[in-house]
Amino acid sequence: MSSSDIPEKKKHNKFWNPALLVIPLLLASLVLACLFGPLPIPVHDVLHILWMQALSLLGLSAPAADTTWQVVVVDIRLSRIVLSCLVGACMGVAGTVFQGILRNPLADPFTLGVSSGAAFGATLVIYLGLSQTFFGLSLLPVAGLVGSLGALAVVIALGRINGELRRETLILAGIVVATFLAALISLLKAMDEEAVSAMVFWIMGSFQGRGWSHVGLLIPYMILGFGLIYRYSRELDILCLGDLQARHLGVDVGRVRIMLLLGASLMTGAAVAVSGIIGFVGLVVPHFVRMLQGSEHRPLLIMSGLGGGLLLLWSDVLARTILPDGVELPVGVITALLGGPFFCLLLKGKGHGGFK
Amino acid sequence: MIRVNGLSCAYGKKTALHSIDLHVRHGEMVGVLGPNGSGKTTLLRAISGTLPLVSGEIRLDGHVLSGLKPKEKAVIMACVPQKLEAVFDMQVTSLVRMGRYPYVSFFKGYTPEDDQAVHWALEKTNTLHLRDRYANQLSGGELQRVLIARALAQKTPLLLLDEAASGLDAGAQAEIYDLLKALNREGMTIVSAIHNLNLAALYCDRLIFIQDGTLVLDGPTTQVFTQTHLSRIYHAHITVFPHPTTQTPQCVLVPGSAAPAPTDG
Repeated sequence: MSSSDIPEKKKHNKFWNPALLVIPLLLASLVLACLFGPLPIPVHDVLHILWMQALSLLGLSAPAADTTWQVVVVDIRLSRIVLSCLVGACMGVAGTVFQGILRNPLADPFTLGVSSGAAFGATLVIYLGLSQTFFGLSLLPVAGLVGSLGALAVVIALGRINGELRRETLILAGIVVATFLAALISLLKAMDEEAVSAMVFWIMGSFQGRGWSHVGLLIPYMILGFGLIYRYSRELDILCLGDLQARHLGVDVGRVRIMLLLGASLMTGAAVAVSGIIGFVGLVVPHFVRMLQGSEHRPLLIMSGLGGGLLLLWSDVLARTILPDGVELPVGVITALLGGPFFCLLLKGKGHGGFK
Repeated sequence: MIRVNGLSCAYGKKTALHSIDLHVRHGEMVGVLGPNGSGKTTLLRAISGTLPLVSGEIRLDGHVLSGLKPKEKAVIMACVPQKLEAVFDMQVTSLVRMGRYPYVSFFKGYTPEDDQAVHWALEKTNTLHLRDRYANQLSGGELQRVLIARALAQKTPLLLLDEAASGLDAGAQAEIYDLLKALNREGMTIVSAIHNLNLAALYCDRLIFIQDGTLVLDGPTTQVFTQTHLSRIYHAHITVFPHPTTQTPQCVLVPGSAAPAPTDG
């Protein structure tokens, strides 16, 4: 078969930018999602409260009075919606980076044990009885973040052979570390039966009871992590050709890989630290975006962030409204329920892109 | 251009190259030959700076190789791999533009000069018509020409190739080596590991032979490409005769003549 028999793929049109569609969708979702909740608040009141809040943020009006509805809409609903959106964005971006660096379609933010590190840090803090809040902030997220970065450091140290950081050894080291940490977590659970429910609740992943303080905690790490990743996004494109060629093209492979891992782990660690472990977003979103966008990483990273935010935002809305009487599902259940079948459809469909 | 002194390399404890001395001058086109597993690829990997040296020194254009930063190295020497490790869903233009990486700064991005270099490289390798295609849709010969284009986009005086045309059909091979020869005539220094003896003799002015990790033969093609040398290195009876049109030496195997290779003990 000559090469001309293969149909030309559709060319990327420079004037058609999917971000132009997704950003308004995301903004509309932020507002729309505020309408859902156990306390019935009329639509126009919700919109009014949000509008006034936006104006006061811009300094165009005095801060609104703290009525019950005001508190419910802004401090309970909106904060949670914004947080779920940011966590989803972190997962989407980090998943893209891990899949790119490890050149493995099954990689996600949890492959290298970063999440297990966070879970271990949090479990340890609960076990030691340090989980109460100090100055309005819990030690839990901090422990989660420290745990995830610690796990990454161990994985990199283990994965380095003769001074070279190889993909295969990284994945193996990640699996070893994740398994070992899981065993340690089980050990801690067994040693303190009273704290088990607190540990399990934290690990399972949820946005229940999260607020603006968590948003504040997440944002610095998110900005730092994304900045680092975006700085090395061109190198990430080249790394996809394999280490040898990247080296031939002048990429400092070892340093770039560590920087990208660090950026992705900061985003993952911070996201896990505020929300627990929420699966599937970091796996599904990068795949889906890659099929739509091709494999250039700058647009890929941005779209994965936006897409992850959108997915987790609505997943959380479903998680808190789908069961009657204000009973909440863990949001991880929703992402898996939505993501699984959707992913199968994509794989079976005629989508292109990703890893061949 | 390349000066290799007393180079030894090893994979783990197994020595792969023994004290190699080699000097490649500006504008030469050198073929690296030798039986399978003799160390051709190892030599190229050492020169390209992707393999740690056990001892010896490699200098590129006077600079000690190990002292060069990755980007500095990539503006002196470009490499064409044997095959792409993973063919990503990537457009030819994007792939070739990666050759401009050593010139690109994070803030400025790709400049018109980079676009010109990419265009020039595509034109040179006769792949301009492929620029909007995806790399995983190309035939083997087309992909290899695109990879050469990427190396050309680096605008280096030195080009290293590791069996860049092996596995391709005769037409595609001719296309690639005609291209390399033309580039060489324009002053580019080319060092290429070649599996096919006759192709090497047809296109290279100088051949070096590696056998069991040692450089055993080095000289002008007409002097080293002889019946005695080839038969000794490849452990088979090989007859050499002049090419009917170019008079360069070519070889054929005499069937049933393979001698058992001496074992290392």
